[in-house]
Amino acid sequence: MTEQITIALTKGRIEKDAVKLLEKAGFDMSFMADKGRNLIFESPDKKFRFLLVKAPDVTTYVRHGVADIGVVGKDVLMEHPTGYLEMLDLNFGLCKFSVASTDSYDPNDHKRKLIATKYPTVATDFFNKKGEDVEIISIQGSVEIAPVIGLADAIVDIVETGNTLVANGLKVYEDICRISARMIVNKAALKNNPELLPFIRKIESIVGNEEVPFQ
Amino acid sequence: MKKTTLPIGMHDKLFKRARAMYTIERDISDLLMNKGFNRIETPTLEHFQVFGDEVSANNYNLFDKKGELLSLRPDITSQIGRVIASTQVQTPIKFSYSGKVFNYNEEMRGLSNEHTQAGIEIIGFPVQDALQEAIETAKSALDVSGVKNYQFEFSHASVLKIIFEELNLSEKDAQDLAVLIRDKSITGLNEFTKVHSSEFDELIKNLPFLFGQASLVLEKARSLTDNEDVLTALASLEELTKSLENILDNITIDLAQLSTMPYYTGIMFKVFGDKVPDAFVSGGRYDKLFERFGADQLTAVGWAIDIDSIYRAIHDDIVFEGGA
Repeated sequence: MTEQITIALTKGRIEKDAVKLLEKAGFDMSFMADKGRNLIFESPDKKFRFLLVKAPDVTTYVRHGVADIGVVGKDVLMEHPTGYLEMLDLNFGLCKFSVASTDSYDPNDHKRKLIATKYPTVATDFFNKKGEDVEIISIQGSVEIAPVIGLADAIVDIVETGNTLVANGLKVYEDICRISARMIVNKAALKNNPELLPFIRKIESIVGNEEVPFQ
Repeated sequence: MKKTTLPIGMHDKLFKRARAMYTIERDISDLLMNKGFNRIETPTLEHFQVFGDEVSANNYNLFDKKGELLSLRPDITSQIGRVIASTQVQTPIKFSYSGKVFNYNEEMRGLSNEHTQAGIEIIGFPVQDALQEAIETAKSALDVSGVKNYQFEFSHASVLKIIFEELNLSEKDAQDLAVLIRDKSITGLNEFTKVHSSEFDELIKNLPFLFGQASLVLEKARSLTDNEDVLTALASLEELTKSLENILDNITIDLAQLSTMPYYTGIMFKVFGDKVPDAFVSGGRYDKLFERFGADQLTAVGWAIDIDSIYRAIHDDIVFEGGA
């Protein structure tokens, strides 16, 4: 008997890219074409079950073992760093974390800076490693306006094309790190479900074992 | 008003859960005492230094009236190390224990911060005998608790230690490598070998896959290195797994198992099973434990079993009248 693999996917763009990747790997994913309002899907051959969930919840599902595998961005993993195996860089969803602000921002200013971000852990770690103490303001979205209207000195955010920054009169001052979609795995499931490693290696054969750089 | 709310990660256990958890803890404790292990009871509250040189955010830390920093115990092994080092207790000696341990997990993730553990420590006996006895006892404890499907997984702390020593990495690079190994990161370990090339490149790149049935993993690992020290560690793993073949049905190895406690020095093992997202037994050899407390190095082997996980694995099989 083959055991089913449960995969938690981040809703939205990562989900679409993940489905494309699975099609490339030779799996028939047509059962997910007409989604409607469903959040849980089973493949006709019962080999796979997919859960569509919000990004941070992917780590929760995998950690508790209710999903064997998760597909989620590194940005989310950096905020929720423990409790799962981060086995594979899927090399899609490429972008970066950067520090951005208006032209008037001075990175070498002596004052204790106010940094607005949706990613408080990432921002705190970055400035800590530089040996600079900053005050973090947690913002849920539209972070770009914070330095423009004077709420913060700079922001830490995801940059993909940079268009949103430019449109809001911001520019990148420093890059923090590259981000891409990752495959995370529950550690007990990897040992208990013999189907898991062959599946992961199949995906590896397509995405490779090298990081594709973000330009 | 907090009168009617529990702190995060805490749970009341009633009816079936309360009864079953008590029965499991009692049955394992009785079994261990009947096998000649001396029962030991250590306090729930200790000076924080017993558990580590630095204050850990994963522990519950609090001040006493004099301003001394205390921790709720996150494990019992460290306490037994303290007992051996600070009292007139004569070794060799075997201890068994059960009780509550506390870990401060990330909040709002549905994780339990209080667990019941039972375990043993075999201190000052010849290592091979101690390992054999520890593993046989762990199997008996699992059997008496009613767990049906489980597998032992072995590893050797030396394999990764040798690699780390030979690579001679900066502290940051060593930490990064440890995370990549722990994560079984296929991409990350491959990228690592590009920057830090060494005789271990092939072995490091294959670490994510070096788990599974013992003989197969050992054969594959041997084909990836000719480092004498690594081969010696693999040989001692093989010797152990061979000697256990008539006790255990399903022997597996994971060479990417990093020691969860810094005091492990040799063979380490975990037990995995269905329905449980983490290992429910972990143990091994940790001769270095006593040096932290200023005592002489002693051979020591032990394990701890997580009773909450055991309950999770067997609760569907327990028939209980009168309550959920």
